[in-house]
Amino acid sequence: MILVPLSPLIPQDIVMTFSMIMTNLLYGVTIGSTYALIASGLSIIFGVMGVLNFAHGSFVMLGAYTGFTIVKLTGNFWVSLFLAPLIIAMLGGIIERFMVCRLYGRHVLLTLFLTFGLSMVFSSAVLLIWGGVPYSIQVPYYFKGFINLFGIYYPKFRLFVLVFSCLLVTFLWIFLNRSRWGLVIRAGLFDIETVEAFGVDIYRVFRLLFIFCSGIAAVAGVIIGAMRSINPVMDVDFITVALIVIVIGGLGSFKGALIGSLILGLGEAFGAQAIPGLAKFVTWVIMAAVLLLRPEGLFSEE
Amino acid sequence: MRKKNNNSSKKGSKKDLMTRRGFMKTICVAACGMALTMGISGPFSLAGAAQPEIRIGHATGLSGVFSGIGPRIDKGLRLALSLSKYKDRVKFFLEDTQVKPEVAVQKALKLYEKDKVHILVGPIGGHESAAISAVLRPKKKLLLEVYGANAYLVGKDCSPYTFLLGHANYNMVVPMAPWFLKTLGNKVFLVGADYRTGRDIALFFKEAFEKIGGRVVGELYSPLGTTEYAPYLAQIRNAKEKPDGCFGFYGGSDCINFVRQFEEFGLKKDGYVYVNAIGALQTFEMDAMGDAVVGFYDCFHTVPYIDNPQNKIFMAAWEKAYPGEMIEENGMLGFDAGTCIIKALDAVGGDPTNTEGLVSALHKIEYESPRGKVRMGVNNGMIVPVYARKVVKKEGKYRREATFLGYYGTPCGPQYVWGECQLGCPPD
Repeated sequence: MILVPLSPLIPQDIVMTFSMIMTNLLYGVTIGSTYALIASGLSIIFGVMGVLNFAHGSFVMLGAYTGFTIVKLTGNFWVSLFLAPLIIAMLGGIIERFMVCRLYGRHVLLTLFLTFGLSMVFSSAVLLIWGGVPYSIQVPYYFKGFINLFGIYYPKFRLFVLVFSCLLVTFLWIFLNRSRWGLVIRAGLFDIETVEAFGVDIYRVFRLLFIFCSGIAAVAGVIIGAMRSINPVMDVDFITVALIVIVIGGLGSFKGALIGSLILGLGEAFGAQAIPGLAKFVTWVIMAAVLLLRPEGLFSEE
Repeated sequence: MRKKNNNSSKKGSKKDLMTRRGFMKTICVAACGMALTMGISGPFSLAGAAQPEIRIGHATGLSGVFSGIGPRIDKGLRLALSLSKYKDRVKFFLEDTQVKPEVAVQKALKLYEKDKVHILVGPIGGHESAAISAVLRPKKKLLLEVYGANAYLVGKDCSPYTFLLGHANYNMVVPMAPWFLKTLGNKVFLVGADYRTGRDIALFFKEAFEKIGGRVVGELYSPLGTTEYAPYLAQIRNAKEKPDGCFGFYGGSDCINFVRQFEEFGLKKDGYVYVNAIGALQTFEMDAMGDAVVGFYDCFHTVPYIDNPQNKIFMAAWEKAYPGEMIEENGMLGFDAGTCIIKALDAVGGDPTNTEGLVSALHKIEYESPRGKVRMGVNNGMIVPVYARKVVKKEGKYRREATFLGYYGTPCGPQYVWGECQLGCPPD
């Protein structure tokens, strides 16, 4: 594919070779799969509980920092991948129990304000505890380096992230569609009052859901923290990404969050390749297009 | 409560007595308190009359992208003054500029007007320093820039009251062109974060490199704050000619992500080298970059662990004051800013209110610093030693192999975009 030079922002002689397309495809799907872990939690929490959790990006950040500390203490990546999400899930539980639960049934803006405030508290707390120095989580030695995949170099750890995230997303999919809890959650997405009328303790569902989604966000935090640098402002990046994804995919839809994440990941990859100067612009163009053509999102449940 | 009241009303005389005694007590306590407070901070105390307090303000980035740098500069600054004869008279005021020019200006004014500081040590971002300098200039207030790399501050926006103690990008880039040609080769791929600093640095390098016979085989700029560099790295690999090295500026988190992914996507293995400009391979970020950074280069005016007597003094003092804290560039730069303040104070007999005296002392300051020999240029930009620094790993620790490239200040004049400084321009 040869792009006609449109502006100085586009390199004049860009030719997409097969290896470049493969790199971008793999990389887009990898990033998209981590976005899916973050965005699906945000989307389901909103769909079921009516809570727009602005602190969701902070759970990703806290997961990354906690994971970093655990790896530093134990030297084991797997311990951190297991323990950090547990700790953050507990934190999520405490927040739900003492703060968010007081606002059920009230205006959605109130929970937005609460969680926005919490996100500021968390970013200051991170600055206080870990300081402003960027860190990175050490990965096990067998994940270092790269492998030759279809003639292109791809980092081993990214391949692990791709497989791991896809497995986790599949697990979530099965959980939502095949388990009893999933049934309750799916029913809750449509009509929470009817679910309550069937004798389900919805507040227990809410709490477990909040805990679960915080934990999944922290899992994403640990693997992203091992892929990139960890810094005290990363929470904003991820809440922005998650919000864009659910605008594209539709609020409260798991499928929407998945497809939205993939569109965003691939958009970023190929956008950066084709028009490097406007790579971030691509994301916003996709979002604007969805808002114009299908304001409720591509896969809205409503 | 009521019982007590009844009691006291019955024994009126005793209550009066107690009140009087209480009143006296209060007066005594208040008097002692006032004396104490004045002794500590008031200008009217006996000690203070001869030796006025030296108030130093520091507006720097404590949150946001520079939150790893600001606190270290502050530590170095305090350390230098704590070793000087002014240590008992110094009072520090620290403010966070949040790397926003409008906040930086507010904080600078607050430090000068409310805290009544005598000297202000400035922010890190070039845009912040320009904003503060413009506001402080008509007020004739001092501003010492540890970073604040903005060439306009030693060009057409220069001010007699603003001093650039570090670099202004240009002098950290141009010396690298002949070094690159000699060490790596004549083909360069320019990269960088797509904003003013990233673009400027690539442009300065391109001009200097092409003038001496080098060639640019590709250019690529990614948005500031990019986290994933795979598509960009693929373009470096697919350049028409394989470059002898990639040169350009990424800072902070961008730099960490770029360097790590440079290795992860196999470029380093295939013999590609990354050369960063203006010291962005910061020592405190090395652990986050990991072994990916070993063998890469950058260019700066300080080298941690460099062998010179002044640096030995600095390192010993730092280890004593902050045991276990790494020795790195920013602490050293803060220490050097403190040294400048001490030398300027020495020149005016320790009177911090003599701004004009401090200005003229700083204008011709020249001394041996842990960086090497430094002196102030006529356009108030420090002429500093410039080193090309290669990252090496020695006994599990990241260290530098530095090559001294010469002493460089930032030139000015009509031929440069930042124009001519009315204080004068140093010869090229």
